[in-house]
Amino acid sequence: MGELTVVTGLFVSGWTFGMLTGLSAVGALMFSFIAGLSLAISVGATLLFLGLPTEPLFVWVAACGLPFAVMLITAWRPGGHEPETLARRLTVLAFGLICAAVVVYAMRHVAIVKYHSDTFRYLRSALLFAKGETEFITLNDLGKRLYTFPISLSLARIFDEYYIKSLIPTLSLGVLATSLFFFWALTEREAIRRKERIVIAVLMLLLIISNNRYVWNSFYLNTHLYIAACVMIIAAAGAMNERSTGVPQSFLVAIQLLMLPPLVLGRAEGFLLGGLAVLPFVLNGAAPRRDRIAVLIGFGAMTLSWHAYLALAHLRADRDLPLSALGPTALGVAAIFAAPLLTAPLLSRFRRPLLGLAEAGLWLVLAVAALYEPDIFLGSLDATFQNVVIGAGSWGRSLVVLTGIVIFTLSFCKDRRLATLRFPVTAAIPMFFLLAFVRDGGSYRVGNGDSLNRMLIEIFPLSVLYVAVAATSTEWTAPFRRRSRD
Amino acid sequence: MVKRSIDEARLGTDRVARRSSVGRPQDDTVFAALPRTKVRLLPSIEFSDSIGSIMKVSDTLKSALRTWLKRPFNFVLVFITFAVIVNIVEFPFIDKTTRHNYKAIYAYDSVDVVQVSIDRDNSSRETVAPYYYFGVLFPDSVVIMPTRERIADAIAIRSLGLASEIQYRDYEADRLFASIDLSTNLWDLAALAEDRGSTLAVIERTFGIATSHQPSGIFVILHDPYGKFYYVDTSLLGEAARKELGLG
Repeated sequence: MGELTVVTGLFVSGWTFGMLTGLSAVGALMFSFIAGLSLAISVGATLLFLGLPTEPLFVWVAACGLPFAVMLITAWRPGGHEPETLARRLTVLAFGLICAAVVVYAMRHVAIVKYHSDTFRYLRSALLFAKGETEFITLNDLGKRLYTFPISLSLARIFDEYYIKSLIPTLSLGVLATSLFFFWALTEREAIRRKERIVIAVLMLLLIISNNRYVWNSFYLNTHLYIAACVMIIAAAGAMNERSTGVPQSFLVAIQLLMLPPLVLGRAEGFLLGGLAVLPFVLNGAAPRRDRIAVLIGFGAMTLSWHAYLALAHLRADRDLPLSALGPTALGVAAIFAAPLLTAPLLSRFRRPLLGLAEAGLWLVLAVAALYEPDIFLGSLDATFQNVVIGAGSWGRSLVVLTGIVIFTLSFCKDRRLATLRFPVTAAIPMFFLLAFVRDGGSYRVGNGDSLNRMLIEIFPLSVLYVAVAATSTEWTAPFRRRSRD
Repeated sequence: MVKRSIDEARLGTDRVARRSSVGRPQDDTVFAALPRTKVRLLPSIEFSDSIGSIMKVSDTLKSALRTWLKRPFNFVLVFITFAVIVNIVEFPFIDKTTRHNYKAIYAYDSVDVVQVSIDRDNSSRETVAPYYYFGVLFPDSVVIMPTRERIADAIAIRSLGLASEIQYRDYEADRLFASIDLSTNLWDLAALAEDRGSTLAVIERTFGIATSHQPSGIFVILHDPYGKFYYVDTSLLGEAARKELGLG
């Protein structure tokens, strides 16, 4: 009952957030759990940064109450072109709550949870967070595992358990729902028949849920799937903001800002993935400048806050300030101050070469690092080849086939609007390999427990969404265009 | 000769086509089973021995394929379908060759991940079980630990062990352990963990819990010479030991 109450609270809170920012009842339903959980992470992070007690019940109550408080303060009334009836909204919400209840019941009775040694380190941090003893979290756990997942798990202390059993499966359903939402909204005005859109949407979902690692990640107590959700939502909301779709921009900016705290506080590479996810949007003159400035400042503020917190934790422990805290702190400051410049119309004109330059820069840095320390690079390359191509990482041949489709799409689909979806995927590859040079363990390892092997899920849903949206585009070049002229 | 037969065949095809459109209903079972666009090809199928009809079919197919190839949508459709098929075919094989905690679908005996990991993994039996079971049995306890020795993990006692407070005292945990007999006060750990081969052996080698009939809620960490540590209820300690720990 306790778990059902906590999940229901987050669900209703996230749904209200969607409604408040202008979504329809069905649209809000698709984001409900992810948005609700992200509100809880944001509240937890705020308490942490302000040095206030981190009591899970307070975090949960604040996360649940926040959208309602905003609703009351702003005297919110249903808006939009076609206001929905209260009955319809409540029916949609009731349907969502029944689904959530089924997942909670199932996960408390079906024993298919997945774990790794990291799971218990997250659990340790979660219990310390719940007790308000975050000063005892080790610097290693702080720097590598951060707070998103510990805060999520800590909510289980409200009902005296160690973790929320339905947390990850519900998140997984949320990833599927949001993928579907974004695909449908992004392709709304494309010159494609409705039947074809349905076929692609079904195939997109099938491609995700038939993937062995996606299913595994749907039960695996770790933060990877949440990071994947954040990356996809930030990038796809940015892509939608550039196109004039039926989805209100107020929602798109709000959801981008809401997903930044769990992303930056989710993993050590979270701020880098966040940077890659927001950059194409920030440079795009097609989106309102005010929105782009807001998202860039949000990213900068989050990166600055977290890494300043990390730097302070090192100082408190009488340790030297690591570059992994100082570098991102500087990046956060730079992002805030450069926001007016980076969003300037002049710079937006050079969006394509700038993105190309950023990506080429990452590959160049990787090449230099590989020359400097070839053992790490070759070791990582060999391990990744064995994990992804030979099958040691339990991906089967799925990533090889998906990479083939992505390369095909990159080669022939020249739709520039897709850059916002494509860039975080393709730029993440050199970034992942670069991380091997800065992490403690050196090169990546062979096996399904390897960090990179598990990190690959973080860009998987977005890459599938990119391919699915590209399929509906009309801007394809050779060989298609040449043939059409015959 | 060949040309004549081709012409004848074409003529025959046309006749049949005309006949089919006039004499036979269009929803004939053969026609009904196929998509509308291909219906026109069918009469020639009846004359598959004729080269002309084959050429006609081939031309039509080529033209259809050309039209189909013009649409990148179709390519991506085929690719994604192929990717889904690859995933589905490989799924059971991946799970077959993977360790239980990396299998996508694998049912355990318990829904609790901590219990599952203790049942299955030695590392959890050594690093999770000693603290988790203490937390389950005696939440919110006060734990006294030696200042200098680190056999028990203080952070794990705080977190998984749910200790409300940890106090550090300057005492020799092994000497204090040698001075008391805990044999009649030890908890039977078999009641906590299901024995799957070596589960109990590893747990019992790692830690122990000793309490009186009415536990005080204050435990002191002691350990034997082999590195096994014990949560010892302070009410079991003698006067001298209590004094040494500053318990009055």
